[in-house]
Amino acid sequence: MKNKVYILVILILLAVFVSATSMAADSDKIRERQIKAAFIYNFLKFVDWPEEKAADSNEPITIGIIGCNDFTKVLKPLEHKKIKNRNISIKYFAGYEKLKRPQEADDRQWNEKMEVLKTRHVLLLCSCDDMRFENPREIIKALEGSTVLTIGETDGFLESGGIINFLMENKKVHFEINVVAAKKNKLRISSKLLRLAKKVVQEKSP
Amino acid sequence: MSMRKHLHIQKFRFILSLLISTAICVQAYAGQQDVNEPEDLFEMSIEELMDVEVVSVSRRAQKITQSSAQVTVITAEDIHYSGLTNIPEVLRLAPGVDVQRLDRNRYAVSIRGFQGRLSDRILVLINGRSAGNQVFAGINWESFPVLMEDIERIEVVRGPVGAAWGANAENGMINIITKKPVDTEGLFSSTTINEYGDSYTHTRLSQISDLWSWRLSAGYEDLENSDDAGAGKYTSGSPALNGLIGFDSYTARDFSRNLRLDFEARNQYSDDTELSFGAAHSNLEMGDSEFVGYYPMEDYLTNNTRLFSRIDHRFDDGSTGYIQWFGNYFVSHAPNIIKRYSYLENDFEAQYNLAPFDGHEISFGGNVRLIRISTTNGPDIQETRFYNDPYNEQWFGLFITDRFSLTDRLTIENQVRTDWYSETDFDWSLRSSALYSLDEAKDHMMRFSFARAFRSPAVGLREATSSFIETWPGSSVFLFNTFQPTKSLVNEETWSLEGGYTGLLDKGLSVHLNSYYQRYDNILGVDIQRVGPVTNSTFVNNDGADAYGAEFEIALTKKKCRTSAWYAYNALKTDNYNESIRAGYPANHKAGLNTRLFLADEFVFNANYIYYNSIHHFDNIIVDTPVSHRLDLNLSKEFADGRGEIMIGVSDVLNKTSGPVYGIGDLTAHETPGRTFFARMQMKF
Repeated sequence: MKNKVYILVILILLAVFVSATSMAADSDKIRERQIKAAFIYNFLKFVDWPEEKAADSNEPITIGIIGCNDFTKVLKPLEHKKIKNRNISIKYFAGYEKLKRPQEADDRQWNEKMEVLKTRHVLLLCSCDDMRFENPREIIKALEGSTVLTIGETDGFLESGGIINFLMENKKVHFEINVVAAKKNKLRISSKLLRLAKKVVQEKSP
Repeated sequence: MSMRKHLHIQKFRFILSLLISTAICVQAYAGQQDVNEPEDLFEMSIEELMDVEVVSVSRRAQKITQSSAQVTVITAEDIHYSGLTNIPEVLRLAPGVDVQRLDRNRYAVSIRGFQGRLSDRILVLINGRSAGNQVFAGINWESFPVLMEDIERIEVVRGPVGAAWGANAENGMINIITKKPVDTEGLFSSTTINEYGDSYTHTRLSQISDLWSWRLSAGYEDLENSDDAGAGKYTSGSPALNGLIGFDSYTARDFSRNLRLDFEARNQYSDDTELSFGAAHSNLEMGDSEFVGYYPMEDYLTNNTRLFSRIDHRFDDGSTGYIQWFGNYFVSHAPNIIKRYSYLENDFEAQYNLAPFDGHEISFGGNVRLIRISTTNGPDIQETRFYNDPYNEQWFGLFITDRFSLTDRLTIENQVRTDWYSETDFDWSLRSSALYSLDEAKDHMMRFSFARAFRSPAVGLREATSSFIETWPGSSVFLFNTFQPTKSLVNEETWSLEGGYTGLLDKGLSVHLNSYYQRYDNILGVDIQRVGPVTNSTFVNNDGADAYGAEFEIALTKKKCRTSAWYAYNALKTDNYNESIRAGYPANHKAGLNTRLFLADEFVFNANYIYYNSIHHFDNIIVDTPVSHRLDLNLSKEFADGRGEIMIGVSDVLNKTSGPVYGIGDLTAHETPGRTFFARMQMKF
C-alpha cells in the first residue's frame, strides 16, 4: 500500500509539471473585488439620490448584487458602516440566468423582478462566467429612470446605459462614469468623483 | 553515529530549513511595498485606492483585536493549507492549547492544562451551540458532524469566559464556526488518502437562489488500526499487573469509520430578517481502548444528531437580536464499559444587542436548556452503571454585557452572567476588562481583565458507579475497586487576573503578549481510600490549585509569505502534592512555528512545527508524556483555472511513531502512526 501511494504521488507531480494549463490566481481576483468594494463604499459618499429615495434617513442604503456572489462577501463589512448617517444593506439577488428576459410575450414575472431591483439604491452587475453581454443591457434598460446607481465591470457597460464602470489598468482599478445615464436616473454625481474618473461620458453640446 | 544522534541531526536540519524560509520572508519583507488588509481598504480615499495594486496579499486575518480575552483565530486558510483532517490536530496551532493524542480517534484537549479524555474545563461550541457531552462533560471530538473544509474559522478563547459564552467555560472556549451557504456556492469535492490506506472524503453542494441559500455536505472517514499502520505497540505502566489484565492480548484496534452529514439553509426573509435552520448527523464506529484499567475489546458506536433553527433581525433603530432553538441527541454504545447511554438536550435562547446611550454597546439575553439522560446497564459487573435514570436536568441562564468608551482611548467592558442548574443551584460568572489604546490609530492595545467562572459536576460524577477487579497490597498502581458517585458535589470555581498587549508594529507585522494568574477552588477530583486489598474512590471537591503563564506571538504577513511564531508557558500547581484533578497537567513549555510561502505558478508551501515539553502527571496519569516535536510539511498547486488543487505532504515528519500517551487512570497506552505521507485532491465547480 505504501509503495502504491508513493507511485500515485509521483504520477500526480508529473501530471502537474507537464501540464500546460494556464493558472489563474483566485487570490488576485478576490483582491480585485476587495478593492472594488472599497471604491463602491466611496462612491456612496459622492452620489446624491433624489428626495423620493433619500427622504427617510432610517432606511438603509441598499446595494444589490447580480451575477457573482463573491462580491457579497467582500461587501459584507459595509453593513457595519454608515453613509450619511444611514446603515448599509447588502443583498445578492441572482445569477444572470435567472434574470434573463423570457422570449414569451408575457414577461410579467420578469417585470416584477425588475420592480424589485428598482427599489435598490445601487445595483452591482458583476462580470462572471455565465454572463452574456446582452443580459446587463436588458437589465440596465429596464432600470432607466429608476433612481438606481448601476455599476459594472465589463467593456461596453457605459455604452449600454450603465452609470459607473470599473476598468483595470496596469494592475490597478480605475473607473469611468456616464453622466448622461446618471441624469436619466435622477442621480447627481459630485464633481470630485467626475474629476477622478478615467473617462466621463457627457451630453454632447449642441 | 548512534541512532539517537542521527535523529537529532535530522530534526535539526528540518528546523534549520524552516528557519531559513522564515529568514527569506523577513528579507522579502524589507523590500516589499505596503500591503493592506480588506478592512484597511475601506478607510482609504478614492485617490489612495487608485494607487493600490491588485496582488495576492495576506492569507490570515491580522486585525488588531479589541477582545477582552486572549483570542486566537484559526482560519479556513490555516485549516486548508494544513492538510489536516481532524479538529484536535488543527487546535495545536493555537498557543496555550494542550492537545494529546491518546489513539487514532481519541484526544485529550484543553486550555492551560486540565486535559483528559473526559476533560470538562473548556466549553466547546459549534456555531455558538453546545457541543459537550452532557453525561461525562468531556468532548467527543471524533463524533462532531463537521467537515474540515466547511469550517470558516475556529475561535480559541483562553481564560474564564463563562460570562460571555455560558456556564462551564472555566479555562476557555472553543467555537467552531462553519461557512455560510453563500460562501460555498457550487459543487465541491475533496479526497485525502495516506500511505496506510486511510481516507477522508468530503462532497458538498451549495445553491443560492433569490432569497434562499443552502449547503449540504457529506463526508466519510476511514482510519485503519494503528496496528495495521505499523504503530500499534502497547506499553504497560504497571508491568507487575500485566498477567492480571491480560496485557499480552492487547492489540491496537483503534480503527474508525465515520459518516458525517451536515445541512444548513438560510432565508433572507426581508432586508432585516434572516431565518436559518440546519441538521447534522454523525455515525461513528470505532475500535476500543482501555478505560481506566479495563480493556473491554469491543467496538464502540456513537450517533450524534444536531438540529437548530434561528431568526436574526435588525430593528429600525439599528439594534439587533436573535432567538434560537437547538436540539442535540447523542447515543453511545460501549459494551462492557457503559452498555448504552443517551442524552437529549433542548435549548432555547435569545439575545438582544443595542446601543441606547452614547458610546455604550449593550447585549443581554438568556437561555433555557432541558436535558434528558437515559442509560442502560449491561450484565457485566465491571461496567459503569447508573441506577436512577432517566435523569431530567435543567439549566437557566441570564447575562448582560456593556462595552463603553470612557475616553477616546479607554474602553471598559463588563460581562455578568448567572446560571441556575437543577443539580447545584445558582452560580455566576463575570468578566470585567479595560482596554487602553496607546495610540490614536488603536494599533497598540493594552488589556487588563478580571474574570470568574465555574464548572458544574456532570451526572457522570454524581450518579455513576463502577467496580473493578482488585489489586494487591503494596502495589504502586491502583485499579479502583469501587467507584462511588457523590450527589452533594458543588461547583468548581475559578477566577483569574489577566493582562495583555496587541500591537501592529508595521504593515503586516503584529505582536501579541499575554499573561495570567488563575486560581481554582473546590476542584472536582477524586479521593482515593485504600484499606487492605480494597480501594474505594469517590468523586469529591478537592482543594484548589494555582495556575499562571504567559504567551508571546509574532506574525508577519506579506504578499508572498506568511509566517508566525509563538511560545506559551503554562504552569499548574495544586494545593496538595499529587492531588487528583481528573485531568492532566499542561505542558509547561509549548512553541509553534508556521510558514506559508506563495510561490510562482500557484504553488503553496506550508510548514507547521509544534513543540511540547514533557508533561509530569503526578498521580493523575501513570506515565509522563514525553517531549514532542511535530513537523508537518506540504506542497499544493492549483490547476484548471483555480478549480482544482492537488496537495502532497507529510505529517509528523520527525517521528516514525507517536506516543504512547497515557489517559487518566489508564494502565496501558499504545503508539500511533507518526510520519505519514498523504495526498489530497480537491475540485470545485
